[in-house]
Amino acid sequence: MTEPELIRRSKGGSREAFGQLVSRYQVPVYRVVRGILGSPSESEDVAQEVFLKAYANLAKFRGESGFFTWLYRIAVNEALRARKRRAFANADDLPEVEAPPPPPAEEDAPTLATLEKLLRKLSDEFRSIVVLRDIEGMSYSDIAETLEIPIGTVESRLFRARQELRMLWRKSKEAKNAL
Amino acid sequence: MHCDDAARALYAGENPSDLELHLSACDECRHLSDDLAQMNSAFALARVKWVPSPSFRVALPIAPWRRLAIAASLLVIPLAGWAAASVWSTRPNYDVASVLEPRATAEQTDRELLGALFLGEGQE
Repeated sequence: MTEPELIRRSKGGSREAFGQLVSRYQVPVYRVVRGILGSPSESEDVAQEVFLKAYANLAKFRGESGFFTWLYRIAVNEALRARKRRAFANADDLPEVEAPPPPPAEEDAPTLATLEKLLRKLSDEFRSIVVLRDIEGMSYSDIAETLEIPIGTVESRLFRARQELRMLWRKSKEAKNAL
Repeated sequence: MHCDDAARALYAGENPSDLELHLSACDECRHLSDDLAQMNSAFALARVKWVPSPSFRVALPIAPWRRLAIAASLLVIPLAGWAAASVWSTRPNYDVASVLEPRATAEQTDRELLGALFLGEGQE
């Protein structure tokens, strides 16, 4: 079944059709949330919230933008909201939530752990754009639609975000080499 | 090529013809190129490794009409049970036929028959 047909049926109340949309997008939505949020288990909860929100607001989706950019917009907003909630909770009384240490058996775990650690140091704006472009591989125009910013802003923001990430990457490498 | 142009091309993921030549002669830009290549490898890993657990399921909320149907059935079951119980409890614990037609079921003795015929007993 085509995506517009699935959307049409979902709007008509078909849970099965929406279930197929979920199956189609659950991995990329999870990845976007994970990239922004960091924590694997929390990311599943937020990804769940993203789909529930999409289901509840499906009637508002008019098809003027792509379904996936609409869904990614919800994912980015929900992940940033969850991050703020967490920061607020941590500021109150809980210790800072750190990602669990990478399992030593996996060869590529340190690289991924470094990436997660460095992404957390970026601002919300920079992290979102890096995740959408460099992890999800979205086009500039799709990112512009998702984040509701002009393409020129996407380009300049991405440039600055990569610059900052690279600077952090270099520092991290130098710190490792110094050990 | 100037370092600024090389950096701009590297960050944008472009590969102009004179970039290779510049990288072979400039340590700073080569470091940048190496770092970006490593970062790209990390991004590629994230694309593959960041997947939800196999147990991940999206539990959609129940539609309002289904919720109503469930609520209605939850009400109907105890109501039906209560109705059945009340019908059972109002049933008489004696034989209805014996009350309605006692004479039809009870055999009259000779004494009763004689009494009815000659002495007028049992007629009031």
